[in-house]
Amino acid sequence: MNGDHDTAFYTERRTYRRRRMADAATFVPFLGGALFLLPVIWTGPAVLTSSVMIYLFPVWAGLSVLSVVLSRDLARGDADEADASDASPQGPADEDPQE
Amino acid sequence: MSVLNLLLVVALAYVVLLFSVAFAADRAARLGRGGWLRSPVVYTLSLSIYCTAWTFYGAVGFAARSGLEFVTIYLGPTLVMIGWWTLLRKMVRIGRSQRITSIADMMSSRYGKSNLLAVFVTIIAVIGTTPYIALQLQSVTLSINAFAQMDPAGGAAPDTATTALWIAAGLAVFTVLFGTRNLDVNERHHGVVMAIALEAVVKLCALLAVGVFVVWGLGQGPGDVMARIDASKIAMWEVSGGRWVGLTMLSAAAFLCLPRMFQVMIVENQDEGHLRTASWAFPAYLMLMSLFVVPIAVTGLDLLPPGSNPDLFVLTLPLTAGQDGLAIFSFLGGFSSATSMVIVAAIALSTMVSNHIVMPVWLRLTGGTAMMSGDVRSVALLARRFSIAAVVLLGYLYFRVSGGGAALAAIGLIAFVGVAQFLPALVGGLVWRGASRNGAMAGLAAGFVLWLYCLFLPGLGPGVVLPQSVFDTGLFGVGWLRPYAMFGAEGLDVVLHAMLWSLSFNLLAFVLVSLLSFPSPQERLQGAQFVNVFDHSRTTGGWSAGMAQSEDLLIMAQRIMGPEEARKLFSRAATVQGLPGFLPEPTTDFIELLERELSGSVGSATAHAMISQIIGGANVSVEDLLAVADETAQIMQYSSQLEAKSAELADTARQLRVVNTKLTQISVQKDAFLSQISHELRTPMTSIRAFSEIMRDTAGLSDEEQAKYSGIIHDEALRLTRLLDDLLDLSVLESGEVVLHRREGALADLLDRAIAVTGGSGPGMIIRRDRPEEDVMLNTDQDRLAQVFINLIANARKYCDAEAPELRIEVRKTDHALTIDFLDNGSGVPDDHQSVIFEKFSRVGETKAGGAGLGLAICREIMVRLGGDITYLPGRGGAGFRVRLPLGESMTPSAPE
Repeated sequence: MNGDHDTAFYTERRTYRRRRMADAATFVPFLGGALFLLPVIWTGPAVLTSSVMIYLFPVWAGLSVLSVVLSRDLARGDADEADASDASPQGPADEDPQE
Repeated sequence: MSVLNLLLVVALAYVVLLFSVAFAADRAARLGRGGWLRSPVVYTLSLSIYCTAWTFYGAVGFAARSGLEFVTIYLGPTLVMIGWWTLLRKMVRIGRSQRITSIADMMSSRYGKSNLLAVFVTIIAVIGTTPYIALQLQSVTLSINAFAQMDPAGGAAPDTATTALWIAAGLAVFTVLFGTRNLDVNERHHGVVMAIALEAVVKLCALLAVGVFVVWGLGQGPGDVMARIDASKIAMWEVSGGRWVGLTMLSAAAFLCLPRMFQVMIVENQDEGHLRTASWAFPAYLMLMSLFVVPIAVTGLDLLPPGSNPDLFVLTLPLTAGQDGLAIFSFLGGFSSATSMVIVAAIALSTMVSNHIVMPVWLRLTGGTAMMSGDVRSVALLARRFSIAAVVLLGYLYFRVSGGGAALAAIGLIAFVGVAQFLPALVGGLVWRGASRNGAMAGLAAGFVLWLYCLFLPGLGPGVVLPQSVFDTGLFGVGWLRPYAMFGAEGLDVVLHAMLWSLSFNLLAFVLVSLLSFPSPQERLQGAQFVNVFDHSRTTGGWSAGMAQSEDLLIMAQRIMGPEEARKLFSRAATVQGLPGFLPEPTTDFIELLERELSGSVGSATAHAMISQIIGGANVSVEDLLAVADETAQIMQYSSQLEAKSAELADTARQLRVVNTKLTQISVQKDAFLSQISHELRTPMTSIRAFSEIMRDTAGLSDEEQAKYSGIIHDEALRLTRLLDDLLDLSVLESGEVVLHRREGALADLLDRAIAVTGGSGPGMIIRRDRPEEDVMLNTDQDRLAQVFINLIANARKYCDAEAPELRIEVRKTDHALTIDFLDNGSGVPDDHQSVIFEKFSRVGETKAGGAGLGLAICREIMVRLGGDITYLPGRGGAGFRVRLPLGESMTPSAPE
């Protein structure tokens, strides 16, 4: 099943989309991390806790919504080809925590 | 009825409700109507045991003390959940394919089903979780006390210890009842999970209700609350960057590593797809849980008298506002947080303790015969029940001993750092095949020791375990070893400091030792299975059965899984294999399946060990396969030894054959020799007899005749004597019994003598010599060598058929030898005789000489004895013989004149 992925250079549009969704799913926690850590660099004298809250909670909710979208897309893809979904996006995804 | 009494009644009713829900869920699941129990929503809600009483009450206290920083505790898990695709999905897949029962089991399984590692993880988990359980007990007693203090009826506060004991006992009973109904963890604790889901809803609703009450009841809506925040002491954003980043990472790590989180997230997971829902629903849950924390905190700071415990604002705000109902609801929220945490933690820890400590010990004590002795199932269940009781009891004891002071409140983060030590080995094992058991052990050990020294022991306060001097001047007075300022890192936040050092050294040791160690085959196999779980999630490999007894396996499986379950499993497998009855063939697939099922009950290490026992002689694991390979290597080595031996034998046989041939030849030669010798002896004997008979019988022989005949007899007798002398000489020479009399002598003298004996140079034979070359001193047996020369010269005289016979004697020296050639000018030895002239009794034609044909044979023997040889030189015009003597001891060139 790996072979299919390797040999099929141009995949179906839907498959391609789904794989990019998997890439995105890998990327999202890093984006979230960056967004969550952003307040750390707000070192100005007049930064209020309330303003950080006004920033943080919408970001939090936004990430949840993003996660909804991504997981729904990935779910559709998984249902289509349960086997194949695992092979290709997992490779690079596995490496991330090491970096 | 006082609020306190009302509270107790409501709490009891709530507990009854929880029991009923758990019971109903278990029942529904048993009757196969539990589909709805397993929705993604229930899974997501069960994850909420992350939010314990520490976060329910403590978050507000945290916020009241240090502002928004509390939120980091929720940000980490949020990141982990939205990154589910990368890591959690893999963990869940592995958990399901390998039938993982706990985090200790996961690590043990990854690192070659090593029970030692599992024991280690279990111990760390127990040490890290016990204070946390104590914390939950404390929070419940504190909250009850808060009610007691507020009670207008003035009822005396119940004794905290008694309250805690009752709660602990109740929790233990609940956990034992619903946590150990069945042994197979993979059948999951429907009742427990359902109760937890309910509690999750209760605590979220309670916190939201309090939040809503605070914002819209006590305050005038969001704008007013925001203004209140800006006016409070936590208005300014003064969070330390290090703590913000560090605590976020720490909570993410703890979310993955906490035994109770692992239990609900991985072990209790029934469908990988549930993660998909949880990936957004759980972050949303966490966000909602933290949404009102800061408003509650600032309102509490604002409205409540100074000195009130901010940890209890969630309770005391509604209480002081007279909202008893809300307060009780809030209490139920906190109670739910505390109890759900204790229940799941107790289940998770008891699974680890019984699978990795009690069961292996029991198996060993009972002689390791899982098959023959008592009911493993009941033992395992009993072990688990006792473990649950023990874990809860430990928590209670810790609560009593620590006195339930403020020190306990700090334990949340301390425990986080403790369990975060699992992270390098856990995640490293999932992404890096090179991660080895020794590496994991080393990393855990390093991290654990530093955690103990930098955080846990100092956290108990100076003088409890570590004396004050250690805090001031470091261990053994080494400043670099101060628990709060390791390696000179002063001024760092305590938690951050401990986390930095413990995880750094943990990771370092893990990577280094992994790089340097060589994992066992089982480990490498498991490593590949874990890292590449998505490529082949099924095979755990290793079993090659064939000799395993299905019946034995069934007996064992019955003991662990229960008779019905085991029979069901076996008959299902038999059906799959297309066999009648309920005993399947012990195929590799089936045994793998069975091991996975069993590891769901007793952990992978124990299950593996038990199946190994039954399969016994049949090779079972890669290790065994490799052992077999080793054996093969030994056999090969042995066979090569055999080969060498047989080659030796063949060699010997060949030598024997050669010797045999030689002996046969010798025997033939001997026969030939005997016939020859008898012939040689008979000829003269015949003459002697004939002539002696004539002389005896014939009368009147003339004197002349008499003289002639007796002359013949005499000649023949002489010839006979000579022959016998030669024979004797030859036999002496051949037998090697000849004694050589070496002495110095000049070659020229020797030749002079030989020539003189044979008649000298004269008209009969002219002998030409090369005097200067003959100037060589010889250290040899002069007489024997002379004998050779005499023989050769005599032969030349006898056989040279030239008109003017001439013998040239040429002497030549080479590096290693001296050659003396005797060349005559006759017709030489015919070609066909050249090869035999040195044999005994070989004579070239019947000539006048009448020799016995032993001369050259004797010469050859003499030369061999003297270390040289004698050869015939063909193609020299006449007969040519070369005598060769080695240079060396036997001769020395005479000193130059």
